Amino acid sequence: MTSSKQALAHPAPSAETAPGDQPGAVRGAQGRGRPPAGPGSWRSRLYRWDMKASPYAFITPFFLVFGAFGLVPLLYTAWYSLHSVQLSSLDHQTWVGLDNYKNLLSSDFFWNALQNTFTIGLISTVPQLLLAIGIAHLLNYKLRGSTLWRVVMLTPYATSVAAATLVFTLLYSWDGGMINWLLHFVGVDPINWRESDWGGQFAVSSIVIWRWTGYNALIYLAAMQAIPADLYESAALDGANRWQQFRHVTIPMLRPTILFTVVVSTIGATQLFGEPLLFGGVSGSKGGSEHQYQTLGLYMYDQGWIIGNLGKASAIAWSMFLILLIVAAVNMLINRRLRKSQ
Amino acid sequence: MKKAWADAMAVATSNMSAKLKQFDKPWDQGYANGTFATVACPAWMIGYIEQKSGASGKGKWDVAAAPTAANWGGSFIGVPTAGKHQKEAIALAKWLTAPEQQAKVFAKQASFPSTPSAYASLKPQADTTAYFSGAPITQIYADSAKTIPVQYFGIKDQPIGTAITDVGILQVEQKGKSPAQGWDAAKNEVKDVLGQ
Repeated sequence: MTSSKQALAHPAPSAETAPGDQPGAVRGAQGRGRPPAGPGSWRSRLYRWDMKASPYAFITPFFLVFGAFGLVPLLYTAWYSLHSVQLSSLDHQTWVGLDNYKNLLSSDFFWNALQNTFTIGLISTVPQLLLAIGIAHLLNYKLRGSTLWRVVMLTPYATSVAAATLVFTLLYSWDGGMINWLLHFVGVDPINWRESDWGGQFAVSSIVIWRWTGYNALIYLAAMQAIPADLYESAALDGANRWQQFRHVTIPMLRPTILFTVVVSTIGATQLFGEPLLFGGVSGSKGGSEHQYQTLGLYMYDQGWIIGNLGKASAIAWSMFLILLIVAAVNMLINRRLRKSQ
Repeated sequence: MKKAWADAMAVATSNMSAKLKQFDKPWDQGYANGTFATVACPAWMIGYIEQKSGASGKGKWDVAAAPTAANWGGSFIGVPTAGKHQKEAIALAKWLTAPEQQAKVFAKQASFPSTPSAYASLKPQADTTAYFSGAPITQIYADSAKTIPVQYFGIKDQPIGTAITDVGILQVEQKGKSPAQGWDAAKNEVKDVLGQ
């Protein structure tokens, strides 16, 4: 490592810092700052090779690990998705071509799961980011104990999905849950949150919102603090009130940050899994008796690990991957549009 | 199968059901707070009832034979052919299922034995008997066990069961679907399970 650091610090001098050399010994013989020998000499070639190859050598470990634990499973899943494979007998695979994918396209459960993923993603991401901007704006004022408020904002994020969902499941309990108890004061009959069509989606979204709002708020807060104060000063001089300053200074300056949080939240929403699974309780992988809140992640889990159709589950996994690619492409297009309009 | 479905529908469409899923949190709370009166359950579940109902349920439970004896899961002992110590494993399985051991387990936590020759030597703990209002549980279970049909369990037994109970029956019970709709939903679910 030391030799490479020196190579970066003194790019010109000599080949003394090539990996494998003993820096001390060579340095003693040559001295520092001596120009390299002629361009054809083996030292200069070694040096040029070092400069070109070292960066790749340093990033290799990541790609090796990614290859072993990311790429290989990814490709293996693709291979599985073209076979009929049962979890109970992994050795017996029969080639079925694209049958698993055809099966998915004609399956009501798949389209239902895709739609649920989209609606739950929408009703959890939009309020979450709006709330986060509002909270970040408030935290940006001079407050007493500002660190305390910020830490409190981050605590839901630090809570495990399992613990949070367990508490929410009790709150949303049909019989004796706190939310139904509060609703009865305003004259609303107890709602069967788990089994009603929109209740389950609403409940699952509320868990996501609770967990991620503070995290996004802190990201917005950091971006807000990087906005130069003179922008606000000049806006104030022009007679802009607080709200106008927020709309015409803060929001435009936050644009790249907002885009980042939108991308991250979209990815999170596409992969939504733990919350609906645990919210459903026993046989939660069905996402309710009518699959009301079964997301794509849940449908994949149900097919692969509960039912044992690994081939079909792999096809779902690859479909999710393709959907994510499409979503990423759309995000990129919107980003480009926004940048042009700026 | 038809009769079982019809019976389940009769309960699901009446107001007799507490509308709880088995082994769910609210179900456990129901035990603790005594919010339902009866549970149809396998023999091994009386230990579960005692644990979940707690001290306040003592003497308030009783045991009666189900109208028809049936198999509702439980545990099975198997020896994989790939195992390195098959002989020892078989010996252990034999020892575990021998009448003496099963009688001991029954006395401790009232898990009903799988070996019919153990029935005669069963003695439940005094505590268990007191908890279930002095019900003659050994007698009831031994009589029921003799009428249980021998069943074959397929690999997809569990997910198919879930499709019937947690999709079909639950839709009728909690979502106000008609029994015919519930049956169709269960059928579609089973097709999905079987990859059709």
